[in-house]
Amino acid sequence: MSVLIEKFKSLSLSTELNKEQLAQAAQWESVVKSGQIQSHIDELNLRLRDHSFILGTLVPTESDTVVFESVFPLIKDLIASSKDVKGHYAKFRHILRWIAYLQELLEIPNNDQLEINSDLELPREVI
Amino acid sequence: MAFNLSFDRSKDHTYALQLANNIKLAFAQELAGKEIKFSVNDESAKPELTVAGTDFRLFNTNAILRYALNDFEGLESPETHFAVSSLEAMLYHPSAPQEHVKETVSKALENYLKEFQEPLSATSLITFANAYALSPETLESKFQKLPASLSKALSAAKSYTPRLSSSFKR
Repeated sequence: MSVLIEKFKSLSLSTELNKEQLAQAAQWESVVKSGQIQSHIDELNLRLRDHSFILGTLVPTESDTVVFESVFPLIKDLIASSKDVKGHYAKFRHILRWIAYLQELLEIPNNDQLEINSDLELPREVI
Repeated sequence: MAFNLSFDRSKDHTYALQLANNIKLAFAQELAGKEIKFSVNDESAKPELTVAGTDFRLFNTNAILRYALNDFEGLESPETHFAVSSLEAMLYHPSAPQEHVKETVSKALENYLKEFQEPLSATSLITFANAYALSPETLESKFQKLPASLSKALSAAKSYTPRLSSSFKR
């Protein structure tokens, strides 16, 4: 078990999941396990546009932590290596909101955290 | 509730990946609980389950199969890990060496598909679908007589997965 999953378990944020939420958990854990998270980043952003957390729960679940572990380095690299920071902020704004919350919750050390510029003015999102 | 199912005809997916996805969807269609009746959506080329009148949507065929069977057991099991991280990951890498593919399929047969008998769990069906798509001939020679429902689903999956001339290169 990874350090982040252990950390999450220690928070005891258990939630009773319904059938639809269990299916979402199976879906996102399959995406991570098959190594396909990078090709599903847009899908994840869309999911987080409509839900605070991946399974549509009021508090984060272990699935959020599992996905976070894979997505966090990808988004960090994307933001760090891009000249179009504003464009990436706009494109992945919902993932960034979710990362900002989870990196605090999971106590990611300050020097490893993604520094999110909350003052950046983003174009209005077209839904 | 109206459940709409789309089979995988995505041009971004290899034949083997389409076949694995379509086997899982055909199993879902064949083995779903009585409360679920699927309509097939021929308009979409991407694998997907939607429920009319709700925002519920699944794009991952493992999840669709588990949802249809209401079977979420073994999500963290070594078998699920092997089926998805080893077998399924290979379906995304068509250039993986054939020896490696054969070895991985053999491991699936030895370790997880030895007792492939009804009642079958969603986990076993996922392992079977991924292994079958990687090496249909190996699985066909091992399982010459499958339960009727699975044979029917397998035929349906093949009919939903047209073989393109480019896929014969493998």
